[in-house]
Amino acid sequence: MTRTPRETGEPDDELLEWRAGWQADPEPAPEVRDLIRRRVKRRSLKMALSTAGELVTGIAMLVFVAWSALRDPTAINVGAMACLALLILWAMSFSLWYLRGTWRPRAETTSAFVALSVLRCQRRLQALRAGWWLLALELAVMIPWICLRLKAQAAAWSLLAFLTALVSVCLIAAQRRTRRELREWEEMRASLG
Amino acid sequence: MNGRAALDARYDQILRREGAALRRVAAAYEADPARREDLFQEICLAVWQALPRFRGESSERTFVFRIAHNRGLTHRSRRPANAADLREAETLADPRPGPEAEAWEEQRRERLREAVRALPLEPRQVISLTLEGLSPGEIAEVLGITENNAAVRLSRARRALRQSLDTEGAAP
Repeated sequence: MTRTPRETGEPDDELLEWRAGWQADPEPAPEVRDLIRRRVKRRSLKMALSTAGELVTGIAMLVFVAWSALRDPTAINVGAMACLALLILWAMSFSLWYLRGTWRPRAETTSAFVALSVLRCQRRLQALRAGWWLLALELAVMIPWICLRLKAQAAAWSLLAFLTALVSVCLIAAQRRTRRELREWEEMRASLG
Repeated sequence: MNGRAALDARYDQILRREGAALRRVAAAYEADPARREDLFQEICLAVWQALPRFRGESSERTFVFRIAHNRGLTHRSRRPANAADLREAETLADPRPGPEAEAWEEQRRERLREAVRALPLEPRQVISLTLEGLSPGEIAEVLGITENNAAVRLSRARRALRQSLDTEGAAP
């Protein structure tokens, strides 16, 4: 009995026709390839510069915090600075961790990649929840610090309120984005079977 | 040739061989031309970044397609919430000059691209890989499924694509 192309896994006429239509785009010309390569390298450099910028800013903040602690080594000041350092370190590591997927593209199979992405989103949400605890801890230390060391100066309160609002907005936005991504990944996992 | 130059040469070879295919992968995930171009560049960037870690465990082609589809899925997961649900936008026609203005062949190709883009994710991946000329075995390697499963999915995907093309063809 003769087997059909579909049964043997060979492409049949219909598939060949679709394939011809699908692949009708010409290969990129050398100058286009060159342009793509240049753009890719530029994007790669931009990513490296922006990560380096974030790292340098974080390190500068840590140095300032250490300097402040050394300048006034009282328990309340050192405690407040340690809390600030913790928050900065958390923000730096979170930002690097978030970028990791962009820096190291995964070549796993699609199903493994989707499962990994779901796990990553879940871990990111855990890290963001930890961020709220860290912010609360920071406030618990900074409020008495401002009262005791800075004699409750208005400028210090304003700065604390501004920074707390900024961090809160960033945390809320990151949580919303991550929850949305998680939903999408879970939908994709379900639809990919 | 030093390591960097060898990598450059290999990347150039991949772009020459798979550049058009990578553009089509982007087209399978994004209907909007500007965002599609952006996704295509993201895919190229991802391939460039992953290339030094390619150890030959699979064929280079499978490796490139895995990265491209993974990037496509990531792009889908990060689409903006306010984008009037791009799930529907994915089925919209490309806002480039209307197919009426193009030749009949181009119209057919455009219809095929739209029909592929309108498929649900699973058949879309299988059919786009098949249309690139990958065998069921290679598709299984890209997607992380068995070869039999790939063949079953392909059969379902073909039916869905045929239906979609017939419906579009019958539309006034």
